[in-house]
Amino acid sequence: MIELIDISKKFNAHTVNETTVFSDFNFTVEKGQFISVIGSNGSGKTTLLNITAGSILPDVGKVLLNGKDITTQPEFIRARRFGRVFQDPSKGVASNMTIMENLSLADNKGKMFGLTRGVSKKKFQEYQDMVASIGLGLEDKMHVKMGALSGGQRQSVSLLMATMTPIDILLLDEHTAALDPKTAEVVMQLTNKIIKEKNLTALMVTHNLRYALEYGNRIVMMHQGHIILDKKDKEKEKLVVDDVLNLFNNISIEVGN
Amino acid sequence: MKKTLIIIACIVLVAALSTACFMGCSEEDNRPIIGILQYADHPSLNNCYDGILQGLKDGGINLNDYKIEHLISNALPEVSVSQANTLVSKNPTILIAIATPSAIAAATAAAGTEIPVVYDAVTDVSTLANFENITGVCDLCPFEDQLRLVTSFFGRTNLKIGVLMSTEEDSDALQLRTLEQAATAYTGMEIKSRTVAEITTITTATQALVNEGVDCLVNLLDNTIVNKLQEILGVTNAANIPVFGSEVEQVRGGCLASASIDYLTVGNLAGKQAAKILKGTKASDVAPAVMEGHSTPYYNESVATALNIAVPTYEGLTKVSAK
Amino acid sequence: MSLFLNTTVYGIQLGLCYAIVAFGMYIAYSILDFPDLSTDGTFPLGGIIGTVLLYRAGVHPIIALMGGFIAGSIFGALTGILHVKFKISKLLSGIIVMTALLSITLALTTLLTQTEYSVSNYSYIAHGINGLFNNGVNKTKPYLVILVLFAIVVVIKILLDLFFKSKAGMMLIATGNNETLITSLGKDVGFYKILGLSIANGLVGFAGALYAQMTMNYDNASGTGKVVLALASVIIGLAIFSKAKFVKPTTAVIVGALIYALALNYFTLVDKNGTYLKLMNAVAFALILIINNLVKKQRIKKKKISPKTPTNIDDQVMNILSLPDKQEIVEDVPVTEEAQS
Repeated sequence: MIELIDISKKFNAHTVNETTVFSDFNFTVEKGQFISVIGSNGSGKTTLLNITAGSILPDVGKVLLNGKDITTQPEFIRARRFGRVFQDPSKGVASNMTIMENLSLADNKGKMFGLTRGVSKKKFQEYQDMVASIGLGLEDKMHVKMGALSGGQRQSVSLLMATMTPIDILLLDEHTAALDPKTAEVVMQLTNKIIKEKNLTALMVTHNLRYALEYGNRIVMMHQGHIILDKKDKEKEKLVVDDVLNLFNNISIEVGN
Repeated sequence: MKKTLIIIACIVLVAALSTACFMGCSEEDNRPIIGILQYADHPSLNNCYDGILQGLKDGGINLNDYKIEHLISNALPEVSVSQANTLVSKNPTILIAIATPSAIAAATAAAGTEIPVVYDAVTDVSTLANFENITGVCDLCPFEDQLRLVTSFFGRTNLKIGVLMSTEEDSDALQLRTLEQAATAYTGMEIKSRTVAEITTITTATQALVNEGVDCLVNLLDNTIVNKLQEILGVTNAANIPVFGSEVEQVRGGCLASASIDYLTVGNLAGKQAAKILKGTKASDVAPAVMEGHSTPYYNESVATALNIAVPTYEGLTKVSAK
Repeated sequence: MSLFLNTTVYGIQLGLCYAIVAFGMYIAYSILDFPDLSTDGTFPLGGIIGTVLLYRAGVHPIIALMGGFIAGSIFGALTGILHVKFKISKLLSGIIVMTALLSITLALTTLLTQTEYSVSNYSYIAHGINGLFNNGVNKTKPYLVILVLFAIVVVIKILLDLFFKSKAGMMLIATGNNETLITSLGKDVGFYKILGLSIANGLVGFAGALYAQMTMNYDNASGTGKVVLALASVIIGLAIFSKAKFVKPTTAVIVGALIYALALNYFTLVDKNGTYLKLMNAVAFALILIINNLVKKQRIKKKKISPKTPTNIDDQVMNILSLPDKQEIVEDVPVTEEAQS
């Protein structure tokens, strides 16, 4: 349902630092897939996500959503049908607003942000139940400003916010990388739960090989702008950490990491 | 955070204390107050002030019977307004305001009270229309006198006269109109004016007038322009063109000549008006004064020599020396 | 009326007028993180538009105030457009608009004189202009003036509070906090910046028109120092009430403006000729910033905000101002690779 066709992208073109990230790169996301994308530094995995989201525009090539060409569509318009969680927990929420206020805003995505009341008391119970399902005890903190919460708590709320309204794809941008292992685990499990419950299509860029293998139904490893491993469903289930690790180390040695 | 509160509290406390002290100090004086509001610290306006005091005395007022509150607003209209309000709250017997912005402030503050207002050195009196209980002295240049002096120096009437105006002086439009009106009495006389929007471009504007072939410049009562006299003279002297000042101080500063009004007189007339009011006449019954017939012709000999201009025989022409 | 009482009354009148300017600056500086310097221009702009509407179009004084709002909002939007569409820095955008307005307000006075010549002062009473507070030479009594001003300020405050609770208002608040979130919610960040600046400067223009009616005079120089004054009001107000959770920022800002205006007025009792007025303004502002910095150091120590110094000039200025209600998160987020991975 999302296709990247013949994408070429250079950074710092025409300068000493010019690097080619993609050259005639192709990638397709099918509906219902939960894809983990791993790779070394400079492999292009984050650029892949950014081009899909619209944060970066490709030099050459097309991005299609359900057959419709969205290559030049501005990021904020794409965001109406995309959910995105960033690595930085501060990027997903408004820190000077409460959980209740943040959720109210997120619930309005895709609709008009007019002069009607932003926070609806009627929705309080619904949101509280949603927040309770995270399991971090946030349901008692509905009126606490996000800035006072921890990174993991913020990231969890970001997840909720990103998935509250109907979306075509959930983009996860190394969203557990900044969290401590325990919190990362909680957030990852929450991610999986939401994706399963809402039957979401998801694209997750991650550094964590274990997560990449444990979660999702498709794994993609990238290296220097190419896909060197792409396994889905049964084939993915058969993969073991060591296989992937060996491949990863090989390419890393090659690149000099 | 506590620090913020404490420091703010201190500021307000200090301010309040100084006020209380200030009030306490002036408790002893029960004399009626004469409030004098002066727009800026400026030689002409300072002369006005001195003239006012003299005029009050000439009008039979014993200054010791009164407390004179003299406030200067440093050319800030907002300060003028607040000073006017302050003076009015002290319930003075009269308010005298020197220069237009102060006059407007004083008249506005006194409106609705019984306090009479005397304005001084206001060039455009239409700015004080509709106010009641007010009178004063208009210092609009006697341009007839000035042009008589100018044509006398040149020996002819077909002159191109350049005039510089600033955007800061509101009465410039009126002054220019009056000058142009006076010029119609002379055959072939032309007035060329130029507005200087940004005062740092004064030399460019002066040069432009010179390039248009003006025979001389005539200054209006415009503090912004007059303050840059030396820059103007730099350009005109190089082109050998004389500048006629609007006041004797400018002649001392390098202008060739001036049919000058004397700001001591401007002040004196206002002082006399104030005296009448203090003695019981209603302000509306005291006639406003104008400067016609009150000018004195001055000239600067060394400037005439430098510009190679002969000094004409002219009734009352007085020599002044450079500063 | 005694001198002290009169000074207090006048100070309150000014403070209420300035409170509206402070509302505008609160939106720009505190909510949007935008150091808008165009205020010194939009204030007299509101004044001249309001005066022209009263004098040449004979409208009701309240309509004249609304005219000031609309005029201010147009130029506020312009500042926003310069920054958002043309990528001019926040500071420069404000400076450009302010500079342009110096000429524009002067040019607009020709509508009053109906000649080619501009004026810098135009008395309401002298020209038969009736605002809210005068009918010819008959001025409204000072206490009544305070009442009317207070009512106006309260109405505006309530409208603002309601606005901040609305969806649009919440988005505005979020814009200054996290631009990425606005994009993620499917909205254009630039739009909200322009909207915010528009409303902020609209309020300043409104205040300018109100000030002209209050002083019964249009003063072209009335804008000077308004940025500093409004900013000081916002900082004082927010600092005093930073720990009081139930006092809304809008209320705090009103109090700040009143305190500042009163302090200034009391000071003029001591400094009768206004010689030290600018100095006092500078000292007060410096004091406020220093206190603010001390408060900020404390908050860095308590790990409430991040100590990183931003690189661009706009953010550096906002860092210096670092208004008390800014809530940033301090956890050091290890950003791994850049986009090139």
